Amino acid sequence: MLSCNNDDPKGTISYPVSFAFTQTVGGGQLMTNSLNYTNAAGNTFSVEKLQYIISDVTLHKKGGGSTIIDEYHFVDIANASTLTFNAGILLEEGIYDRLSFVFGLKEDKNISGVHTDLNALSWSWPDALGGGYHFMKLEGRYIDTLANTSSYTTHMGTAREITAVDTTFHVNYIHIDLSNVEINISSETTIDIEMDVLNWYENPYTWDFNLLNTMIMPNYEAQINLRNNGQNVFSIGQVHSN
Amino acid sequence: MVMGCDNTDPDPVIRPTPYEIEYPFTINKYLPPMIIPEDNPMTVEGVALGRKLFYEKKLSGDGTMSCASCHMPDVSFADSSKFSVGIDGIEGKRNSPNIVNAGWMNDLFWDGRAESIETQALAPVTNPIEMHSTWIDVSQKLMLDEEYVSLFNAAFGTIIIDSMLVVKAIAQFERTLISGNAPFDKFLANEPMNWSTEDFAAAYNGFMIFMDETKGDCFHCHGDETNPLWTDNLFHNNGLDAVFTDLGQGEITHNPSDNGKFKTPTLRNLLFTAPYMHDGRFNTLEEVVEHYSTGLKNSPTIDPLMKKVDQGGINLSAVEKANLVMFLKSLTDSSFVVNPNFQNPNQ
Repeated sequence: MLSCNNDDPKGTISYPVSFAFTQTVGGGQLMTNSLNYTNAAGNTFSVEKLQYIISDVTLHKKGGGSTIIDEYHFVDIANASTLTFNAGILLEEGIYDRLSFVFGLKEDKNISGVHTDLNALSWSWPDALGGGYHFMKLEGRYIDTLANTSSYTTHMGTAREITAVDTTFHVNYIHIDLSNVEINISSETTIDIEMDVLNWYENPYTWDFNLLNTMIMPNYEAQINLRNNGQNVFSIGQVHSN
Repeated sequence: MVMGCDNTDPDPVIRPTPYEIEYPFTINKYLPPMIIPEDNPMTVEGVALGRKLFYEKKLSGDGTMSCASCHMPDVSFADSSKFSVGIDGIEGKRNSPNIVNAGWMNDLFWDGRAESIETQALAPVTNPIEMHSTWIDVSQKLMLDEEYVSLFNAAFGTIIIDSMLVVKAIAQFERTLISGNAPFDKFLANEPMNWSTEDFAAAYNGFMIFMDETKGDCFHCHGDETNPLWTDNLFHNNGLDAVFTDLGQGEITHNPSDNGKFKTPTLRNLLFTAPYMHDGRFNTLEEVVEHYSTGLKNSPTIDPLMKKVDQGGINLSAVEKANLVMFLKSLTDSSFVVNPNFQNPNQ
């Protein structure tokens, strides 16, 4: 589904626009199963699995107007077909100075059981934790304080907060807003959306795998820290004009 | 069946009848439609032929084995033996997986070497330790059988029988093997489970353990109430061995990171499909649960989802383990194994 709120003067030329997803670690291309990355906490770690969802991708035209893609897209770095997202949109020629999207799913889309493709992938987020779907599964290994190789599973979704008096579920999606960009749409275009994995584990929260490794789904603080760190994870990479 | 046939037409057009798939409640609600290959649409005639071929012993070198010899309908199309034995008396090295909801599965076999049901069905016929035949021999045997010539003509509009048509028909039949009528499915559909209060309570508590990342954490690989397949269709090393005698997926990809990984099996119909794991090492569900509780063995490719490996696992209590087993039993679809549409038509 596609909705446009921009003016559409007759005679304006529009071009197909799609997206490609790239992953880096500290600026270098991500290599899976390579136990030689170092995070801000000084942990040596590797990445074995990286899957995530983005949704509601919106392109904002300089001077006003925007186009939103009212869909979600599942990215799995092990599945090349998921690394591009072509929603079939046509974008009016011109300069676009902002790209925004939701990391994860907003409330209207994050409803348990409604997305059959995600169901078949076992992407549910347990109802006891607020339901809906995982936003991300980032898994790998790290060297622990005893110099042993241990595992981490950074899974993100709705944050459950339990207090002495109540249990509250906090939507935990991230509104990513990439402004101060200049994307010139003058032909068929592919926009690279780049994730730097290192940023999940720093700024503002320095994430130590010795403290937060597996079983973090019910950990409210960990989920909120991921949301906060996630503000700085994405950037626009290359823009390919075909 | 020949439709649109004109007696004066020297070249009648065969139009098989499209097969209408009936989806049970949970599958209809939570799964996308089955993906049917464009070059193998399901037809009534194709499914009937595939069913007959599934039970056809002419597919083996000496006429003693069919697909059903190792995928028996009364045990959810699995094999009760640890390893199936081929026509020459030679054992395989892996337990025969069951065939349930195969229309949604990809990367078949324990090691994922077949990308489709059609591709999978090609292999056992010529495997020297299984049916040990040749496709030329099988084709000749079938083409000498007038009934098969007629059935292939009705299903595919040709009397030239080859391996591709045989596996297409078998795949059509296998896509009809849909299971979605277990007590847990009935619970989700607000239908009576007819379970005692005690068993229901145990199964419910077991499901909570299943869904708790700090307890069983089974759902990450095996799905939950919104994934009626009860598998993620992916490959994992679930901590069976510290040293691999079977490389699993790594044997196919030649990537050391895949060593010791095997396809996640569905949890449907486990009461019928013992023994368990790719090598059939566990005879009971209790043994399986104990493995995840205390029996995990570390290795370079053990899945990060396997928790507390240094302690052997998550160390569930006796009650928690019993509850988990009770929940697994609630995924047993007894109607599936006696479905008359799935039985041997050649008897």
